[in-house]
Amino acid sequence: MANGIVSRRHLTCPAKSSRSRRGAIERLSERSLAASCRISRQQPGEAEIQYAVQVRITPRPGILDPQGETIGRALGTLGYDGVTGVRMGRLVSLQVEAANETAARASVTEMCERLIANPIIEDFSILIQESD
Amino acid sequence: MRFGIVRFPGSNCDADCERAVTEGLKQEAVYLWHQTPSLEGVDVVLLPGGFSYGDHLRAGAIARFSPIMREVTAFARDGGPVIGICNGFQILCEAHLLPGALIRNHGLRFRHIAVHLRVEQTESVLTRASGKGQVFQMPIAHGEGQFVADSATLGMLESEGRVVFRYVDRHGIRTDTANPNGSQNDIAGICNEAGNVVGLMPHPERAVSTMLGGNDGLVLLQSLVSPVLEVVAS
Repeated sequence: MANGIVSRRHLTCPAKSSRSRRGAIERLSERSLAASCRISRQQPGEAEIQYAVQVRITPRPGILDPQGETIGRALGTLGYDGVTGVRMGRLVSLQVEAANETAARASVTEMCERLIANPIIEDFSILIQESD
Repeated sequence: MRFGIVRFPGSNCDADCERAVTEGLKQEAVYLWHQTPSLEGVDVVLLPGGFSYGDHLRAGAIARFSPIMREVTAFARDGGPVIGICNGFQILCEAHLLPGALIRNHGLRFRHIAVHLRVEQTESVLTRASGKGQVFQMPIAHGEGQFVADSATLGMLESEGRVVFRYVDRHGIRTDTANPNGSQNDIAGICNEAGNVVGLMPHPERAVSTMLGGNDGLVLLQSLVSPVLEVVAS
């Protein structure tokens, strides 16, 4: 981790469509805000920063999740009572070069909206960490 | 009339489509490789079934970005007939040429059985020679055919008469067991606003010979050629 600073935030970003854009919740921790400001003050021409990104994709609320249901039933069969709301998603990890965290996030958000997730059926959240 | 059958890596119903067109409909068929940015002047585009790009990420998600899909989109916007069967339907949804999405079947099972479809409207390019309420039998073979859409989209499809086919029993009646995959409202196929883009999970191209279990699919596909033949005749 560069400079020992953990720059991390967690953001739920529904896609561009106005329908899913509504209700977008952005949660920034004080520390990560400070970190992204630090990075965005970089001058043009400075080296790009490498970010380790994880995209978490989950079925949108209300969309049936046959895999989650099956896992839930299997857990019940194993004797785990009281387990409800099992939902299954995917995790995509990638390395992204960008001038700063804001740029990295904007870029990954676009990737998610265009390819990595299908906003009709899936929500995604993005976790960004500065890597070496 | 010239049919273009788009081949993606992993398409596996392309040859069935070709035979249905040439031997069934007695029309010309050409294969269109997905990397070719041209439709070579075809009159109809068929997106066949299969597992394009191995269904990686989501079924149809990668194929959507093939160079030919830009041409297919422009062709569709100009009113050209585009039919997506099975994986082709998934690609049309991923490409936003049709609304909604197709997710893993209810119960996670890959279903390969003969189903019955009821024609819900006769405005689409695939049903204009059919009768409303007509029941066809043809096979399905898919693991991700559960049609889902948010309630606003579903309401729009219903109110605009864009549900083209529904799963029914052999008497044409909707039942829980007739729906093989859990699709909302028993939807088996839908069309765009203009009716020139149709997606369906069942395989009409696999039901073109009475020797192989029935030719209902051929009756359906006939809709694609009959209006043009009428024009030629007049």
